[in-house]
This record gives sequence, C-alpha cells and structure tokens, in this order.
Amino acid sequence: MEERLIKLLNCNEEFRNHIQDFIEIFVLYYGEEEREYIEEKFNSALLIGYLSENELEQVIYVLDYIKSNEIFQDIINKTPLNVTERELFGRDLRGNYTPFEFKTFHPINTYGLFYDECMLGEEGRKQKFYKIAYESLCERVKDISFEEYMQIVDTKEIPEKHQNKSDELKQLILHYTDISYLQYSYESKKKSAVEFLKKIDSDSTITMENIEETIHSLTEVNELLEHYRKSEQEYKKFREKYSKYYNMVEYNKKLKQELSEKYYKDFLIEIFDEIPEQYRAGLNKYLESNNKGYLDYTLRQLVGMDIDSVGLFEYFTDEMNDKMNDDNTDEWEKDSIRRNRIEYFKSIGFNLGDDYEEYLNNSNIWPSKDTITKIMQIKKEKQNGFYIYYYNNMLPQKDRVEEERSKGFLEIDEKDSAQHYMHDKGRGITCICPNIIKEGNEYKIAAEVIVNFDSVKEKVLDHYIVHELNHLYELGLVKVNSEMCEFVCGWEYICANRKNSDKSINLNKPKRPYELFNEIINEKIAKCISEIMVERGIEIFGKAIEESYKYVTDYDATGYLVDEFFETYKKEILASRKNNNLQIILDAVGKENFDALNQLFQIHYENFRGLSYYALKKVLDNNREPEKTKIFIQLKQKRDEILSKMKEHYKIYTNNKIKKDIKPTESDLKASIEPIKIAKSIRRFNPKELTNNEKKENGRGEI
Amino acid sequence: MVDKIEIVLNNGVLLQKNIQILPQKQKCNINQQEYKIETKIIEKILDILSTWQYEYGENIAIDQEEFNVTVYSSNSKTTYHGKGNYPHSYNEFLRLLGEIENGRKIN
Repeated sequence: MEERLIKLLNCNEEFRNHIQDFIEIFVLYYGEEEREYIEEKFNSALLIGYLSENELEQVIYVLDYIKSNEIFQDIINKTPLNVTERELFGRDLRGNYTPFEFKTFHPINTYGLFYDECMLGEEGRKQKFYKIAYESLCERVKDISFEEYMQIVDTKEIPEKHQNKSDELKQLILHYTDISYLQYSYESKKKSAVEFLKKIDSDSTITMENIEETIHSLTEVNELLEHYRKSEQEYKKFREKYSKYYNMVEYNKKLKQELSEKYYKDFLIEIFDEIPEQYRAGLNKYLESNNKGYLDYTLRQLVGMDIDSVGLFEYFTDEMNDKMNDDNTDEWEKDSIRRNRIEYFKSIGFNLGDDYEEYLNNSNIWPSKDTITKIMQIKKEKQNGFYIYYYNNMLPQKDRVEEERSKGFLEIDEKDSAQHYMHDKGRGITCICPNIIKEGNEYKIAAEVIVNFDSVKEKVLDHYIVHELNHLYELGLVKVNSEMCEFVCGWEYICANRKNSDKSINLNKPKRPYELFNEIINEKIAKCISEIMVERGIEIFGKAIEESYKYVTDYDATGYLVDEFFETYKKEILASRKNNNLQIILDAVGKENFDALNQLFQIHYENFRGLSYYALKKVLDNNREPEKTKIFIQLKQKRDEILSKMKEHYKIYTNNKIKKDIKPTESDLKASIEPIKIAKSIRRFNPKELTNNEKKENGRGEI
Repeated sequence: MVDKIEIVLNNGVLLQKNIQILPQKQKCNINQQEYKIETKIIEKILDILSTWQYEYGENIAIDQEEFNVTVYSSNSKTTYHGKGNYPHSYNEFLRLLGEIENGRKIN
C-alpha cells in the first residue's frame, strides 16, 4: 500500500520512467517496423503525470495515517498495560486514530504535558511561565526588559517608563504578567491527566488530590509516555522524508487562499463606486482588516460569495436580456432570472414585493448597461487572473509550465494550461494537447500527454494511459502557417487559430465531425492493446485485474454499433488512422456509409449519453423506458442496413482495385501491414465474467 | 416547471458523472446511487445554469472534460455544453454537485 502511494506521489517521474514499457507494448501491437516511429513519437512528447489537488492531499493523509498507525501499533505492543489505540491517540473527524500531525489531540500527549509541568514543581512552573510570557510580550512591546517585567509581576503596576503606552498595550502587559493563567492551565492539564489514567485503568485510585504525589510511581505509564515521545522522532523523520509533498499541499492551500482573497478584494476595490452606499462602511473595514466578517452577507450575494461565484448583478447582462426577450427561452430560465433580479432589487433597498411587473414599471431602479458591463468585465478579468495565476503557479504544475517553455512549444496559452488542472472536487483531466516546435525552418509536431493518476482510476489506469498514447501515436501535423496550425489525430482534424488571442474558443466552427466516432475507434484499438497486456500479465501502474479495463467507459456501450465494423475492416481502419489517411477507409466502405454510421453514434449519444454498458443494459433489459428501447432497436436495424451497404461497396472496391491493377500507393502499403494478431477477436459479453455485483445489476440478456 | 435535470460529465475516456435530478421528487441519481436533494440546492443549480451560455465550444485538446447539462421542462429542453471551455461558475456548479454526494443517500 505504502509503496503504491509513494508511486502515486512520484507519478510524473514514474510515468516518464515507464514510457519504454509502453513503447514495447505498442510495438507488439503495431509491429516491429513501427518501432522507430513509436519511439520517436513517445520519447519526444512532454509526458505529465499528476495528482489533482484533492487527491494529493488524500494520498498524503493516507500515507501519514499508515505511518502513524504503524507507530501506534508498536507503542501498544511494547507496553504491558492493557490499553487501546483509541485510549492513547483518540479519533479524528474521519473516525481514524488521530495521526501524529495532530498530536495535541492525543490523550497520552495531554498526560505528558501534565507530567512535565508536575516534574518542574511550583517554582519551576512559574519560572517557565515568566520566560515564555515575557518572550511573547516582547513581540508586541519591544522596549521592556526582563527586570522590568518581573517588577510588574511583583508590584502589579506599570512602571513610569511605560506609562505613556496606549491603554491596549498596558492591558496586554498586565495580562502577560498575570500568574493566575498558569494556575488555571495547570489545573486543567491535571484534570485531563486524571481522566486519562482512569480511562486506561478503571481501578486506578488516582485523584486530583493525590496525582502529584503518586505520578512518580506510575512506572508503566511513564515508560509508555517515554516510548511515545521517542516514536514521535520516528514520525518526524518520516515527515522530513516526504516533506516535499507535505509542503506542496501547504503551499497550494496557502497560495489558493491568498490569491482567491487578493482577486476578490481587487474586484471589490475596482467596483467600489458601483456598490450601494449602505454596504461601503463594512467593505472599507474588510479592505483594511482582511476580515470577511465585516462584509455584509447581502453584499456578498450581490457581487458573488467568492471570486468564482455568481453574483446577483449577473442577471442583468446583455446575455440575460437576450434570454428574457427570446421566445424560445424556457420558462424556468426566465423565472430564475426574474427571481434573482427581484432579489437584487431588494438587496439594494427597493423592495416592491414579489411581482416582477412592479420592478419593470420602475425603470429608474434598474442598473445601467454601462455599470453591468463594467462590473462583468472586471469580474471576468479577476477570475481569469485568479485561475491563470493559481493553476499555473501551484505545485507541481508550475514546473510543468516551465517545461513547456523549455521544450520550445510555440502554442502556449496560459488560460489553456490553467484549464487542464482547474477543477475542484478531486477531479483531474487526462488529455493530449497538440503543439508545435520549430527546428531550423521546419515546424514539427509536439504534444503534451497529461495523465491524471488519481487512485479512483487505479484499476484501469494502464488502459487509460494506453488510450491516450494511442492518440499520440495517431497524432500528426498537417499544415502550419502564420494564421493556423492543423493537426490530424486518427480521423479527426483539429485546427488551432494562431492569431486569435483566445485560441481555445471554437464557437463559430462546426463541431469536429468525426470526434466521437474517432474516440470510439481509438478506444477499440486501446482495448486490443490492453488485451495484450492482460494476456501477457503486464501491469505497469494498474492492478492486473483481468477484464477490469472492459466496460468501463460509456464508449463501450456503443459496442453494438461498432464491433462488427471494427472487426471487418480492421486492416483499412488501422491504415487510415495514421498520417492523414482517412481516405483509405472512405474508399473501402464508401463515404456515404461511413457518414451514416457516424450519424448513428450521434443518435446513440443524444439518447443514451452518460449510460455505461451495464446501465444501458439495465434500461433495455427491464424495458424501463420503452421509447429508448424503440430507438435502440431502430439503431440496430439502421446499423445492419449500413453494414450491408458497406459490404457491397467493399466488394466493388476490392474488385476495382484488382481490375485496375493499380500500383499500390504508400497508403495501400501501410494498409497492408497487418498488426500482430496477439489481440484476438474482441470478446463478446459473457455473464460468467461478471462479478456478483455486476450480475445483480446486469439482469439477463445481451446488448 | 422543471421535470428533470440531466448532467453528464465525461473526463476523456472515462465517464465521471451521470446525474439525474428529479426536482419534484427531490431525488437525485448519481452514477446509479440515489440521493435526497434539497429544493434550495436544485434552485441554486438552476440559478447558476440560467447565467450560462448554451454552448461553450471545444478546446483543441483531445479527451478534455466535457459537460452536457439538459434541463427538461413540460414540453421543451434546454441544453448546455462545453468541452475544454467552461463557464466561470463551473467550479461553483461542481461544488454543488459535491454537496449532493456528501448528502443523504437513499438505500
């Protein structure tokens, strides 16, 4: 377990170190003649393995927990006392034994604190108190000597020299010289120590009155305490060993907090003039003190609770007006806009009830277009600032951004980079980002392979990586000029606008027409490669659970549409997916038929989107949604028609080829390279392969 | 009146979340697990959605996270989509979905 967690923490290095293993697997599938190409492609890519923010924190927590538990067990084993972990170390909010990081909550630690003070004796405790209190006081009152401090302790009066200080400071001096705090603190520790001793030994005769006399004689407990303290050193060494990761978590948390606060504050400062008068005093106090408590809750509703939250003023933008004026906008959406607008008016002090018409009749209370545009513009600017700065500067992403630059990637978009990592809630993105580099006068393809290693995907991680690496294998550069670069990935064209400052926005372009089909085929190929791994017992990151890579994606639910096509035309499919050779498959099966099949995937996703293989089976088996079952049957009929037309076309295609006796082109030659057939035909669904749970879910029948 | 909200989040090759919210039954199904959902969370989700554009387009990367949200009401449906490009309140939206998952499971 520990080893696996450490591997996860080092996933970036691990990914890079294991790329040769993946190269060998791809060579096994595509053939030895592809080795050079695969090696060049995989070795030149920028490989990035990472854990999402939450996962990094979770891995550290589990690692810490394992180590703490190991130490706790050792402590328990070494004491003759009949004590439990819970009695010594308590439990944290998750119900686990409190790890060493939070040792102040360990009952044994509380006992130790009392033991130390008891051993000091009354005078010793006083001296210790004065020393610590004096040092703390000096942080605020720098010109006070220890002699003067002790004089105040004795006289309880502030000397003449310090009389000119503010009342607040004089109060502070008196507070730090007040010995009664020591007595209170000592008694409270004593009480906890007695409770602890009674808990570990219900027959204990220790009381508040006799503990000081008898504590010396509690040999076994005191030996336990000594051992606990020695063990703490072991824990500290462990922390030191992994300090890089502990520091990373701390650094990210602090950075996020600071930046989120900074950009929120900047936003409020810049829109200060637009903020209703009644909230400005509180806002000023917040700006001076950093204490969000001064911000009125209603103001936060108006502008957004945080930098990335929606504020009420956002319901007045042009887009919202367009929605309100559009007859096609659903009523619920208009209702939501109306409701939030009413909320806005009430927040700024115009409560005309809940009838929207009343507000429409009072145009003087509506915010001006300029005001809304200004606020929105500033908010977007600050939000982007926050995202770009945080997600490009958090660790370890910061190093990766620098690597992109050092690799000479020409298409670097900070917003894009940030978006790869920006999701909360333990989510992480795995993707391929095509890019270009310039060598001499020539542009060359470059790519980032970003793989999220969050343990939720442990069982299928190897397959997951194979899927992405197959995209990399199929990725090629078509054209580059000053305006754009065009990539091809399998059957997909990807066009990046080099001049547009916001490269990522692709709103005016049609959706990538074969994107889904391309993904499904890529997944089919990846499955064949993963099958080689399973058959050969190869595991790199994932647990070698046979079959675990199957039926995990919602692409798998399209098997009924794609399996026969894939198996029948595998040779042409594989040949057409590299080097911009889509024409090979179009010639073989007919463009019309190919597009018709492509269309079926779209229909499938419109109706069954998000349904896994098993979930879809459940819907169909129980005929839970008759309408969907009907669509499914129609899709199958349509598929059969298309496949039959493809077969006819293929016959003509092969006959024509023979008749014309055309010299084979380079593409044809490539098409004739048959992949090594280690990957046998795709296994059909077999209920015996299911786990008990899956059987329960599955019911009967086959898609 | 909203009958159903469907949220499908795909993260590259893996399906991340498949969510159906039934506002009138105050029920929510996340990846085959049922949860109880409070009306105020449903309202908040709809409030956020109403500030979104319908289409955010696609990023040039391959296998980026894609969101598809469909809101069904009496005779119509409204969809929101993006892949690699997200609304600025996307994280707030995800936090709300997280709140449902941290809430009360049914059975």
